[in-house]
Amino acid sequence: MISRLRIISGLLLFVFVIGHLLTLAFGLYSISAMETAGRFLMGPFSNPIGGPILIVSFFVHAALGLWTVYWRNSLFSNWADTAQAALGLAIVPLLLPHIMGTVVGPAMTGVHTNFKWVLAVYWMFVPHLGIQQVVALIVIWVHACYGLFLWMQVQKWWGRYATISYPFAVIVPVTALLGFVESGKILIANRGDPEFMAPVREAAAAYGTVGATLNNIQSQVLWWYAALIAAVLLARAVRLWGKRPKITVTYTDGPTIERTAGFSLLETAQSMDTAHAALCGARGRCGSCAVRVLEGHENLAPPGKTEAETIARRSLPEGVRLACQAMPTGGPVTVERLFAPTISPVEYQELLRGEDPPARDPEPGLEREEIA
Amino acid sequence: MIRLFFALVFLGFLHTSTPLSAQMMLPGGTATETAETPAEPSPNDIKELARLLADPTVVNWLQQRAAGLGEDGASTNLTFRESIELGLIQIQVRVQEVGAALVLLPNIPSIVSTTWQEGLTPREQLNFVVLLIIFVFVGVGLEWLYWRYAGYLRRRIELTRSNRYIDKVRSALTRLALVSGGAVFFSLGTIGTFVIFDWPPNAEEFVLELLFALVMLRVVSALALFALAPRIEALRLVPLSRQDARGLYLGVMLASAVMLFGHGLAETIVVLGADEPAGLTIDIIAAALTTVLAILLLWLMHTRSEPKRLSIAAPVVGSLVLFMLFIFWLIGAYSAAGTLAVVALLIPTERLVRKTIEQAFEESRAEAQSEQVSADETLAAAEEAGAEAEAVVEPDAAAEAEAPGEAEQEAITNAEAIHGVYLPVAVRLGRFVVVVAAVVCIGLFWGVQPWNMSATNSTPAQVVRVLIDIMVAFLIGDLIWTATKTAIDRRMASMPKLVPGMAPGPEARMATLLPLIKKVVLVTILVMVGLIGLSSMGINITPLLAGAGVVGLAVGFGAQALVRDIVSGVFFLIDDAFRVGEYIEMGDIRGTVESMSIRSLQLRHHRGAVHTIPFGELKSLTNYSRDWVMMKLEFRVPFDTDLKLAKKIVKKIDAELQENPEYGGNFLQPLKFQGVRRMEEFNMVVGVKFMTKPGGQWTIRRDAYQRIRDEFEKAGINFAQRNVKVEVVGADELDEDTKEKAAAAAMDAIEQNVEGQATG
Repeated sequence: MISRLRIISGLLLFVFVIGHLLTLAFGLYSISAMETAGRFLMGPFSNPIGGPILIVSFFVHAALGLWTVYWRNSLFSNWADTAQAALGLAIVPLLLPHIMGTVVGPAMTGVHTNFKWVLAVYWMFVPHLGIQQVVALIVIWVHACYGLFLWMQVQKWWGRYATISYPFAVIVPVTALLGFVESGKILIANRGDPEFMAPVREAAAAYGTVGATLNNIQSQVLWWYAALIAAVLLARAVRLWGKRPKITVTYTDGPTIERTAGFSLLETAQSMDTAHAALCGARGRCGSCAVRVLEGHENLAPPGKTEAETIARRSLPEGVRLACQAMPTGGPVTVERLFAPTISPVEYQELLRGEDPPARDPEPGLEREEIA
Repeated sequence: MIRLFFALVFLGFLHTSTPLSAQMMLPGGTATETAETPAEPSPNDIKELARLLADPTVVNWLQQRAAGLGEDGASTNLTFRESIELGLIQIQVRVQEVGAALVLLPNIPSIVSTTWQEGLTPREQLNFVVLLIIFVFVGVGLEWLYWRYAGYLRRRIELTRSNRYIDKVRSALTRLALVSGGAVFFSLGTIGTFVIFDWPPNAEEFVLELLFALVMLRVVSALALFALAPRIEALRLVPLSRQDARGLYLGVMLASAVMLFGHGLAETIVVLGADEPAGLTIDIIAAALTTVLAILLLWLMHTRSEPKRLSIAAPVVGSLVLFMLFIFWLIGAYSAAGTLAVVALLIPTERLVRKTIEQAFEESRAEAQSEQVSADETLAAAEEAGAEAEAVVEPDAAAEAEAPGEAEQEAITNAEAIHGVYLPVAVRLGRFVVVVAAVVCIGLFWGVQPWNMSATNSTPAQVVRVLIDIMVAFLIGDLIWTATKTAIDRRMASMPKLVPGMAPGPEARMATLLPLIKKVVLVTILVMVGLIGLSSMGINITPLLAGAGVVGLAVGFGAQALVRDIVSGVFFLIDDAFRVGEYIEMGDIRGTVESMSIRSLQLRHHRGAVHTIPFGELKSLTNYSRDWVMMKLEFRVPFDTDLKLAKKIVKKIDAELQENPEYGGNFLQPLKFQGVRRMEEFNMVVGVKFMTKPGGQWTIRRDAYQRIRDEFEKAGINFAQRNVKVEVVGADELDEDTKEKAAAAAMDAIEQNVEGQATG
């Protein structure tokens, strides 16, 4: 339920971001083209129905992110997940000025926001906000794409669309940023033209009155946000407090790892640079991290709901656990990886469909090497 | 030790790969680039230029101009003195510039900040940061896209362990291609998209410089990754430990980053309006920092190496070389700097190449062995299974298991022989390539094109030409000599040692020929290399050759017999007429071949005398030591002998002799009773024969005679003795005295008869 909610809210937000970025891409043509495109591409979310949906999605998604941070036992076992969480947390402070300027500001002043004004702010009046905005765009896009790909990788249709979906992930932000650059150049080139700059002047006059209030609100939101994150981390620390027993995980074709308990099998393996397939990013969806437990069944916590579902869906045999979900509680465990660490999503899908399994690499116990 | 040299290699590589040293490499290049960087041409201009370049008449004109320029360049050959003077003047100018730049050194931070603030408004500064972020993101995005498609291939390569060196090289090359592809996409995304936009003059120079530095850094990183593979043992081409490779990689990246970004900064502030000396100062700072970093890296590698080194000569020399390089660059002696770098890199590069080749051979040999071992294991396993099934035939299984073991041994020695022969040759070849490349590089630094040397006539060109000729001749000679020597030495070492008493095998002939060939090859190579060296120095060697020919003729006539001996000796050896250790006979001389020289043969007579026979004297000879010897024995027995009994006895003796541990194995055919050979007046002659290996017949004959005599005696067979029966008619009536007299007379007659027969 949680993961479904997360992906739905994320997809809604993603649709909006795509629309917004494509609007920016029209800046490659002209600023008025941006205005026109914006009416269609961002329109669905700026009416009384779409707007609240977007806002609810945003809050749901953010809350679920904090929820994950709270429940994650190790925040630094997998750099990609760590980065994903950090990016997600960074979005709010990065994006806040933009929201203040384009959503809260117009709501307070009643002035309809226009692209010339926003561009003028970013390229001329407050250039450091321009930096912040570009960084925010990149952060949002990377966060969104990473989450989306993790979700899509384990879908049935993924193999067919994988290769064609990658260029899309690059073209959208690149054209958007280039549109941003080009429209900024147009703006700067025409800054002496009073007729061209008329909307900017109007907006500047309107914002002049509410600027202090906006700043005030912004800093308050930031403080509350920081406090919220601190609270979540504190709660997590309290949850994890306590003695952890020692565990020993032995891979039949790999190393033996000794650690304190409190981490999943996958996290334990990854913390010691042991390569392990985990296509869905340790979300318990794909089953590619499955291991056969040879000894020490009793030393693993019983399967949770997610794990049981995935095991049933993939019809995995008895004695097989998902490394990303199985928690060693203490004592020795001997396991064997079912899938090669190098397996690609396409190969995995083929494997599930019952096609010829790819030959396992001759040396599966390799250390985790540099991977682009 | 070797690690330090690797460090040097890579630092040297770094020096040559950065834009700064790109300048350095230009002989007599100007100190810095001109200050006025022309404005970026508009797209229209570029289109116009492209249109003009496509016009054939324009192309023709350009080609003619270029040819004219080339002629001019060839005709203005400077004399040695002039070129030195020119170089000194250039150095003077450069030193003055550097002096002016060094004066600015304390003010550099303020110069940079004022230039930055005066050249750009705060808004522009921040806008440029935005641009930088955007275009780096575009580059990263394109590269990410590239890795989506190439990434799995790369991971495959990185996770696959290849055993053979050639596979390793192939994987590393594939990875280099992949990584370079990534760098290409990155540069496409950054610089490519950036230059599409139409920017106002100078405004984008700053961004472009930084992007360019980033792209260059990627290139350096790809190359360093290719050679060092800091994290993947299986792809590392140089014999370094993981730790060392990582340290070296980081050092190289850090030093190149300092160099590249320093240079980028220098260019930028000159573009933004600072003075040229300020740019030079930043360049100097960057170069100095790089040098210091390189020296630090050198010492770090030295101290961190696991086997503690006693000698600190390598890092000291390395530091000195780096420092000298920096100084040379500073005073603008680029040719000298290049030469120094090449010379300093020569030894480490040679070692690196040698180590790499050795590693390659070692790995492929180990692989051959492991294959053999695994094959053996499977065999053994199969046999084990068989043995379990039939535990009764255990000895058989054990005996069978030995056979593949021997085969394996043989395969290993085989592989070792191949590697042993080719390894020194490969090492020499590697050295040859390295030295030639170094000489070519040095030649290029001094404006001498080795492939175009006939066109230039300057003194250094001639010196270089002579040096190259001599060196190439020497190295090729060395190569041939090593190849021959190792081949011959290994061949001789693999020959079984001559065991006294045993018949020598066919290798004995080669044992005679090979040292001879070796000496001949050595002398020939020495003479040829010497002659080539003399001829390339400009000494006319035709009289020498002619003189040698005349002397050769005279000596040839004088030493006709000697030549005949040598030549016929070679042919006897080729005919395989005799070998060392064989018993031969020629005319009335016989004996065991003790030694063969180039001219003569020495025989040891079995009584100890040594005969020396020149090969030329040999007409025909008899060899008693080949393949088999047939021995025939004869006995005289009385007519009433029981031949069947005799045959039985001989058969029994044969069985006994065959059992004898000392010579029983020498029998090729058993001792056979041949029956009666012929009848004589008073007895019959029976024959016995046997066949043995050469040299084994004597002891067998001795024992055979002895036993046959004893056994015959036991069986009551007496050998026929020469006796005379004198029949006297009417002897019954004679008295004893007369009988004796008659007997004595008959005795005399017989003796006389016998003597007469003997003398007659």
